[in-house]
Amino acid sequence: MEVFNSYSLTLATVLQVILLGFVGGILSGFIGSGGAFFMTPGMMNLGVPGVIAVGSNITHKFGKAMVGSRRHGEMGNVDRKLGLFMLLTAAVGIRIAVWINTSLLHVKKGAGDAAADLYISVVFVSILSVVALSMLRDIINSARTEGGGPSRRISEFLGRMRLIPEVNFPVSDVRISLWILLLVGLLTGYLAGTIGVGGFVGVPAMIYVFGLPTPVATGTELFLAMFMGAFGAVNYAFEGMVDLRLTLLMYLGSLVGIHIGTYGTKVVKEVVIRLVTSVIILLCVLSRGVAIPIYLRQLGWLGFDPAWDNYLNLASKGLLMASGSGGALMILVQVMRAYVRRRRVRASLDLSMAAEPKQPAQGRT
Amino acid sequence: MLICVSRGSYSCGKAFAESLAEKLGCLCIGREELLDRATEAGVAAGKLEMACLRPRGMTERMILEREHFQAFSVAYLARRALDGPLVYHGRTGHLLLQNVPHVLRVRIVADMETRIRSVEQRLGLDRVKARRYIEDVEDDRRRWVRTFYNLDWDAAAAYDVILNCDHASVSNLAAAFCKMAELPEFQETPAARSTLEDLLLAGQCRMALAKDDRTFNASFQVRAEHGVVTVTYLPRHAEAAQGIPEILQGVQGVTRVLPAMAATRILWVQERFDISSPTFTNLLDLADRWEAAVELMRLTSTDGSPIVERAISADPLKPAERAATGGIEEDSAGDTAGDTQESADDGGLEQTFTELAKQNRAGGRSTVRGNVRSLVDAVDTTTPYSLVVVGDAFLDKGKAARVRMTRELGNALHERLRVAVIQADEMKEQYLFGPRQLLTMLVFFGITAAIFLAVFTHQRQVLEMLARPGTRWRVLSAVVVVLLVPFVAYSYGKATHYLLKLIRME
Repeated sequence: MEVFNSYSLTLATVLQVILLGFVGGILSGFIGSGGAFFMTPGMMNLGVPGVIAVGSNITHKFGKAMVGSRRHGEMGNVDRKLGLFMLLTAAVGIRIAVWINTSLLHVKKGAGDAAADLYISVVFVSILSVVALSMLRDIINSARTEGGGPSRRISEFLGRMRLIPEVNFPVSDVRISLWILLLVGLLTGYLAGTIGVGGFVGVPAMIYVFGLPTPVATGTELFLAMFMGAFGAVNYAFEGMVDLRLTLLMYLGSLVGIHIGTYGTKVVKEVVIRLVTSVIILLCVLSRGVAIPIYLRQLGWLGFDPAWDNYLNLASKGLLMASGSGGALMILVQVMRAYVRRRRVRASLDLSMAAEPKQPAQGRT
Repeated sequence: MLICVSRGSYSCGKAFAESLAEKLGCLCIGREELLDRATEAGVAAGKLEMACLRPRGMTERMILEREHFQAFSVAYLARRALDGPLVYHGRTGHLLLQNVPHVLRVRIVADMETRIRSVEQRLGLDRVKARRYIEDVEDDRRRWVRTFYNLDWDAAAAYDVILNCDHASVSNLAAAFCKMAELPEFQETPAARSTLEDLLLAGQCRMALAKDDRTFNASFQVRAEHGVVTVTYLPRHAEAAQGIPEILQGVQGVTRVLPAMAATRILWVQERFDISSPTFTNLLDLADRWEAAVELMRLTSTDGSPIVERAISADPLKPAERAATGGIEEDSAGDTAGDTQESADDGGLEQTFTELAKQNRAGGRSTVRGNVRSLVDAVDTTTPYSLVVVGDAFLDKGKAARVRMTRELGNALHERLRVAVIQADEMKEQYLFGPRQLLTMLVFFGITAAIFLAVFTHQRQVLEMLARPGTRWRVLSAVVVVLLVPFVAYSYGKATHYLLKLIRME
């Protein structure tokens, strides 16, 4: 377990992890995802080994999803039956992911955890590129056709195929083939276990493939994330790959940021939310993509001067910070503008009430 | 008399509505006419139909068009209903004027075999295609109802009568139905007329905003009562909303315009309102925190019985036989001395509404006369409320009955609107910040600080424990992580939640 013990925290690192949590929290509240797409590579850029970054992140997500799913449950947005069905195979998916991640540690002597980092980065770049580009395409399509919203083509196509047995979910008002259900659960679990961002597959799958209403998809994903997070946390903790300190420090920032991000959704147009989300994800993908040559060199599969590692790492950090901080800053500006506008309205009302003579206004103007 | 016929595809609904209108000697309007008039008025009804029916959700533009179409439909039907007796037939006939008390809601159904034969004959399709055609059309209609009203089209409870046209001719069914249509429960009362006038004015105002370039792209919730028009708009539409008073000044019947910026809406149901009560203070505080508009709904003349029984008169249109019905009431609508006396006492509604308007928090007002059912029926399901606060109601009942009926009212409202419903006395505890919340916040901050202190002053021991080899240690580290992490998330989450509440940033 020397990988784990070799990582030490300085004050600067502590502050950076809190900041990562804060920015991730803002993005999480604004976008509705777990924010791991920003926090996992962010921690890797700080020098945290990829496996520990994923393990600590999935543990962090577990606690947050527990609080979030309770709130969604109160609003009736959680389809527990669907969540439990998906959980069956999601647990298998997580187990597979943990096994691959831990097996890749020290796969090549002298290369450290480069193989695991490379594997995590490649999966990250592949999956999130598809997600971000699909979102951008959806925005362009909806602007062109005025149809907008999530397409129901896939869910209707699968519905017509009638792959029996089908299971009825009264809360979501859908019937889904058991096989599709288990397959999506497996994929969600695998991605949650590999890169800590299962929600990026789970939520779109529930909307596009199952045909769920968006709030129910988000609520159910959080419910699922709670169990997947718990399972992932147990697995990674069992392997000694969770840094409790990182998880706690991330909470310091994320639980404040998430409120600000949620407030931001009230004051920003839906299409802007989707656009900002896809641009941020694309920049995160780019950031991770820039770091891939470093791992390839460490594994001996690519030859270049090791001094370039610093530049590439710096570029990766820069892109990540630009995406996260730029997005968070935009949200913060919108939130502050709304907050100031609210105070201004309040002040003008107080002034007009002070100027008004104190008698009950019965007449109609 | 206002009869709304909800029809399925090829189930004789149109023929029934036309036959009924002919027998009753009243006007008959179909959905097709409504769509044509809406298009003429500038509503993108065709695009809206396509957006609802094709396998794709709604953009903000289409959501706005939906708002325009709903406003136009309600105003159009309200105007026709005010002109005289009316029969309307369409897919959502039963939902268009859902808070008008005297609407008779009818659903016409027919056996699948009959419908398939009808499609085979009219469209020349084979049996399999005819069945699929009917199923597809029905699915589209279900989707339309869900998109517009978030309700189930097939829910039998939404109709007063469901008629099957398989075993009787349409003409005979209509003849038999005429007797039911003449029942006093389904005749227009002054109160019902007043409701229609308010709906017409609200619809006209919303359409006026839709036609003006300044407000064309903004979303508004419009309520009208006796000429007082309340318009709530989202914070992001604040600039567009500056034109509201000028635009609505030109609408006939508007006596006062009250625009209010609101990110959301709170419905406050009570029997008597008092601006000096703690409930009002708390509600205003909550509305301010949430940037919410408060809609007042007064429940009066409560009656425990589920159905208000009235005598059937020989001529139902003669007002002498009419009793006060459940529904939204007009101040001067009472026919009896008792009604007039009650109208004069508005239970503090006007004063509370005026006070809310001063605070830029007025979201509309209405008075419902009747029982729990009357109030639940009068609530608009298309309005996106965030919270319903049920205050003092059923004041003429004993304490136990009052508590029980208030709880029943809360449950019924929750089922109808699917939002959080709380009693007024729970508001402070659940949503506002007081000394108790301050103490809770400090306790949670204390717990979080203690955990952080314990972990960060013993980093070495914690790390060693988490990474120590051996199955027993690994199991222990997994247990510690799984128990400690959610506990920290909960404690710190609660503490930050209260902190943001304290600085009024929710």
